Amino acid sequence: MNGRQEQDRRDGWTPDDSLEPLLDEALDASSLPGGVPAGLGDRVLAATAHRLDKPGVLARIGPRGWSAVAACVAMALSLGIWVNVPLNTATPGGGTPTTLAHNDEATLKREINALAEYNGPSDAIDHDLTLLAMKFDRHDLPETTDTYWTGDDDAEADSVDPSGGALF
Amino acid sequence: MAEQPAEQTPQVWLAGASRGDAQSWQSLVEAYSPRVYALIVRQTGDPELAEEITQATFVSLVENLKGYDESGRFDPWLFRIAMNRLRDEMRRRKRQARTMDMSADNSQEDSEWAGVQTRVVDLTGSRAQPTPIDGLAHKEQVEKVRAAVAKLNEADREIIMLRHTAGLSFAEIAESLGQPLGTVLARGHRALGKLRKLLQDEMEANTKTEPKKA
Repeated sequence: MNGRQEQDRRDGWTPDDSLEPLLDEALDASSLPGGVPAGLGDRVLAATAHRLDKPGVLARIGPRGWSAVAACVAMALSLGIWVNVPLNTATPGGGTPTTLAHNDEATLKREINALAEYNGPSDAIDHDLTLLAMKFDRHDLPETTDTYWTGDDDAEADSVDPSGGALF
Repeated sequence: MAEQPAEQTPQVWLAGASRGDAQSWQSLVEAYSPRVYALIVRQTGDPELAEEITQATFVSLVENLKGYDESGRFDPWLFRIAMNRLRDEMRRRKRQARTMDMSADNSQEDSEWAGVQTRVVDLTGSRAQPTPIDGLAHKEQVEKVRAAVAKLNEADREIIMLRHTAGLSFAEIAESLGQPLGTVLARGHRALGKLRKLLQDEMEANTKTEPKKA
């Protein structure tokens, strides 16, 4: 007894041994007149691929991708914009350090970490690296460890680039 | 149906796809999109609509991968999505009065078939009946069956297609359609009965038109 017969028995179906084999043959997907359209699977994949939840970057990047990440970090260091914010530093005038430098550092670290976790297609990581490099290029914080200070009341509102422009 | 290797089961592909593994998703699409397409195109006779529904089915599938509760019932779930997409599309077309009302004459046909149904629904087993087309060559029999299925109304064709094109068991069909197993079995018997009657009529019509031999 094959799997289908066994299932039919469990379902309480008595197969029609004269008609049902003909139906199987006549209606099987592979017996479609004209067949299944060429490229159907590809078109379905194209319509759905971007909806797949992408796995973590780290899982997808693989060992080779790390070289790109290392290059990215080296580039950041060579640009001299790695921001080191000394917390607990005496604040002139009793102000509160803005979150500008912290935010930049945290953002960049997040992005670098995200790239480190990337394991997708290489063209995508190239794109991300380019974007990150552009952000570094646009970064106009001074190449020092200086921090910016404002009054306490303006700490949140002024957490932007001193030149007035948004960082990213 | 032969059992698939462990690494090739829909469940494995589903698990991979839900983690974002494109290869698993591709395997799933390649394995199932022809079956979904075949089911819809046989149900509607419209290749373009069938492809549209197939794509919509897999879009729904990928959007609901996270919510899928794996219990080995992927096939009924998938074909239920496909049939729901088809019904949605039929309703939309109906609203727009663009024809393709596949169920327009269902009630009339159902009453026509009522007599047939009472004759053929025999859950204890009426399987010994010879098929009316037994005397034909095999290829011709297959063609006759295919033509007869096309003449069934939507409800009957649906059962036949889910079993013989989608390859579902009656339990899976019941799950796909959200109907009790007993109802689906009765529908299956009724559909086969109608099919048998159509084939019988076809044979009788052919006999009448054939010139008598001297």
